[in-house]
Amino acid sequence: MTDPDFTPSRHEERTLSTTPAAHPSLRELTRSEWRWTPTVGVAAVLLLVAIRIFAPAEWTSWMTDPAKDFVTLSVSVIIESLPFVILGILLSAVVQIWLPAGFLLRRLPRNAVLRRSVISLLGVLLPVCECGNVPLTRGLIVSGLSVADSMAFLFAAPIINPITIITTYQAFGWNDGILISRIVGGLVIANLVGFIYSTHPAPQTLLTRSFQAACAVDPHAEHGTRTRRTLISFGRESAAMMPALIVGAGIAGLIQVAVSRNLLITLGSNPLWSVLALMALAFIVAICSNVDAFFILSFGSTFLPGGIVAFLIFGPMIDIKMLALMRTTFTVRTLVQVSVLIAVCAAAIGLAVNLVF
Amino acid sequence: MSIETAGRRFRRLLYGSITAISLVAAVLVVANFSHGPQLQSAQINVNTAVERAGQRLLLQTNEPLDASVAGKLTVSPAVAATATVDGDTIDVQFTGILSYNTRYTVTVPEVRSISGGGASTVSYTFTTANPTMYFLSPSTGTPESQFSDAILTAPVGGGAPTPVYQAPRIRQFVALTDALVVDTVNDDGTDALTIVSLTGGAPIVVNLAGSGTITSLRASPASKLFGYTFTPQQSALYEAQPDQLYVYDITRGNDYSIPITGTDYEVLTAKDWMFIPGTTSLVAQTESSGLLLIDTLGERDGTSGPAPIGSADSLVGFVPTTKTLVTATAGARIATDFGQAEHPNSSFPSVAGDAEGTIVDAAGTTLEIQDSGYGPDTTVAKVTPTGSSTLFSLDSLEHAGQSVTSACVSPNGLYAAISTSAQQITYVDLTDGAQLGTVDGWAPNWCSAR
Repeated sequence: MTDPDFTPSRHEERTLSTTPAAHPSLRELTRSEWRWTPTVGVAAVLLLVAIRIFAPAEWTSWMTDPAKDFVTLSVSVIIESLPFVILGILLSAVVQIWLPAGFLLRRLPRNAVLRRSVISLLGVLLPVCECGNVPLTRGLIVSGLSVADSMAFLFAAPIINPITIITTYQAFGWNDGILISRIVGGLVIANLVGFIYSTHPAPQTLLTRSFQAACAVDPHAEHGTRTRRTLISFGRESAAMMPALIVGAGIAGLIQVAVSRNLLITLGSNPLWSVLALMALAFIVAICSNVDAFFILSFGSTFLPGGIVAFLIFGPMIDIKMLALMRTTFTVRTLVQVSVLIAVCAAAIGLAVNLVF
Repeated sequence: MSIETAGRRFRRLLYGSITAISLVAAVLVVANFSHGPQLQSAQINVNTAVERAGQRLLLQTNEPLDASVAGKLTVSPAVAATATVDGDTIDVQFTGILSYNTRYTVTVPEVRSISGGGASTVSYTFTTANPTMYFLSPSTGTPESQFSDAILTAPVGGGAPTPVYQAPRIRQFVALTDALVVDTVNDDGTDALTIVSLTGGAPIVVNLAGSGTITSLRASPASKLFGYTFTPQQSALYEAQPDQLYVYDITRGNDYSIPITGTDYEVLTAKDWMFIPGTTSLVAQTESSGLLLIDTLGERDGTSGPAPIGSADSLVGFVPTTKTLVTATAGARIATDFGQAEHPNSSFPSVAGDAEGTIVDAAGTTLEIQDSGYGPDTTVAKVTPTGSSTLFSLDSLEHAGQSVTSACVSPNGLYAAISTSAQQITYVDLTDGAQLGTVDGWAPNWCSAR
C-alpha cells in the first residue's frame, strides 16, 4: 500500500501521511466493547476465582506431566507479562490522550540520528518490559512518531529500562562486561534498526492494515471526556494485545515442553553454540527483560558470558511472545527482516564478548 | 529519488547490513575457536597455605576444560602439587605446606576447552603470607621510661619491629590471633596476668587465685584459649600446692579462669602440660608423672573430668601441624595420636642424643642444641634417625662467645626460631638452613604456641 503523494525524506517522515478510505469512527468501533468490557472482565475474574475455590483436585488428575508443564509455563509467561502489558497500555493512553497533540514530537531533536538516540534512551524513564512497550509503541505511532523512530524505542526500551538495569547489575555486577555489553549492545542494535528503517520509502507499509486504520483515527479528535476516551483506548488496546499475549504464551509453553532444556545446556560450553543455544532459549522461554537476568544467572556457570549477553540482548527484542504482540502492529515480512537483523547483531556481540572475556 | 530507487536503497542497506554483520560474526567464530580458555579468577588462602598441607588454588577459566590438562602442571619454586579439572576450574592442591613470604608461579600449559579449539597457557602468581612474630625485647622508650620491657612484633620475613605492649617487667607472654596474654612482675615479686587486645579493646586483668607467681603460660590460638600454672605465695596459715593449672577462654571476655581439677577433684598440680592443637583439650602431667587428658570446656561446664591415659617421664611436644604428642619414657619416645579415637600409642622414631629435643616432623627429625654450654662452638643440629646435620652455628653471629638458649619450630614445621644469649632471634629455614633474618629480642612466640 503506497501513497502516491509520498515524498521520501528521512528527516520528514515523522508523521503517517496515509489516509485510508472511509473508516468507522473509533467510537463506533469500540462502543459495544466498552459497554460490556467491565461486566465481562468482572465475570471472568469471578469465574476463575470460583473455579479455583470449588474445583476438586481430581479435575486435573487426567493431565500428564507435559500437559501440566505446558499450562504452568504458559500461565507463568502471562502472569509475568500482564502487569507490564497493562502499564504499557495505560502509558500508551496517556501519550495518546492526556499529552497535548505533538507534545513529544515537538521536543525531540530534528536531526534524525540524534532524535533516534534520544528516543532509544527514553526507556530509562519507563519501568516497562518489552511486552508493555508494544502498546506504548503503538501509542507513539498513533501520536505521530515515525515507524523507524518507534522501532528504535521499541527495541531499546526494554533493555535500558531502570528495573532491567538494576536486576542485571544485581545478578552479574560488573562481571565479564555483561551489564555494559547488554546496555551498549541493545542501544546500538536499536539505533541500527531505526537507521535502516528510516530509509524505507513507504514506512506505513511496514504496519498491518488494521493498525494503519487505527492510526488514521486522531484520538484527540474523539468526543467525550478524556477519562472516557482513556477507557476506550484501554479497552481497544487490551483487545488487541491480550489475545496476542495468550497465543504467544501458549506457543512459548508448547515449545518449552517439546524442546529439552538439557539439550540447550549441553551446548553451553562452546563459544559458538553457547551464543546460539542461549538465543534459542531466549526466543523460546519469552521471559520479561525485567527478570531475565535472574533466570539466566542459574545458567551462568554452564554458559560462556557471550551466550548470556546474547540471551540478554536478543530476548527482550525478539521472542515468541514479542513476535505475537508485534504481529498486531507490524507485517510478517517486517518482523522476519527485523528478527534476522537483530539475531545476527546479538550473535556478533555475544561472540565478541566470548573472545574478550 | 523515486520510490523504487529508495526501495532498492533500503533493501541494499538492510541485506548489506545483515551480510556484513554475519561476516563479522563468522570472523569472531574463527577467532573464538583459535583462542584457548582464559583465566577468569584465582582463589587461594595465602595464610592457610603456609599453615597446613593440602591447601588448594582454584584457577577458574571461562570455559569448561578438557581433563587432560591436569598432568602438565608446574609450580615455581618447585613444590609438589596435583591438579584436577572440575568443569571450568583447575583445582591445584599443594601436597605440602608452602614457604613464608614466597612468590609462587603455577603454570598449566596446553589448556583446552572440552569443545576443542585452540590451546592456551594458564598461569597465576601469588605471594604467600609473611606471618607476624611477637617477641620480648628491652623497651625502646626513652632512658627515663618506667617501662624496661616491651613486646615487639615483626614479620618473620623481615621488616622493622614495632612495639605492641610495654611494661616495667615482663616475665613471659603468649600470642593469640587478636590478643596477647602478658605475665608481668609486680613490685612485691608476685605476678599479674593481663589480656591485651591487639584490636584496640581495653586490657583485661585476669583474677589469679591470690598472690603468687605464674610458672608456665601457654596458648592454643586456634581454640582461643590460654592456660597457666600458678604457684601461690607461701603462707603460714595454710598449705598451698604449687603449679595449679588454670585455663582461660578469651571468647568469653572478662571471665574467670577455669580451674582444672585432677582425679581427686582438687585443682591439679601439673608438672608439665600442653594444649592439643586445634582442640579445647589438654594433656597434663601430674606430680607422679601420670598423664591426664582433660577437656577444658567440659571442666568449665562440669560435664567431663580428667581421663588418665598412662604416664611418661616428660612431655616432648606435638609434631607440628598434627595432634600427635611425643612423650619420653626411659629415653624412648612414644607418639600418642589424639587425632584418632582411642588415641593410640606408637613408638616414635628415635634419634641419637637428646630424647627431649624439639620435634620437627613425624619422621622423627629433632632439633638439638649441641654443646649448649658457654662457648663459640655451640650449634643447633637437625637430627634425623639416619644422621645429623648442623642447622645453625654461633659463628654466624657477630658476637661470638655466646650460647644458644632455645630452638623452637614454627607452627608449620618449616622454620626454626633460634634464640641466643646475645638476645637475638634468628629465623632459619629447616629445609636448607638458609637464614631468613635476625632480630634483637628473645622468647619468640613460636616457643609458647603449644
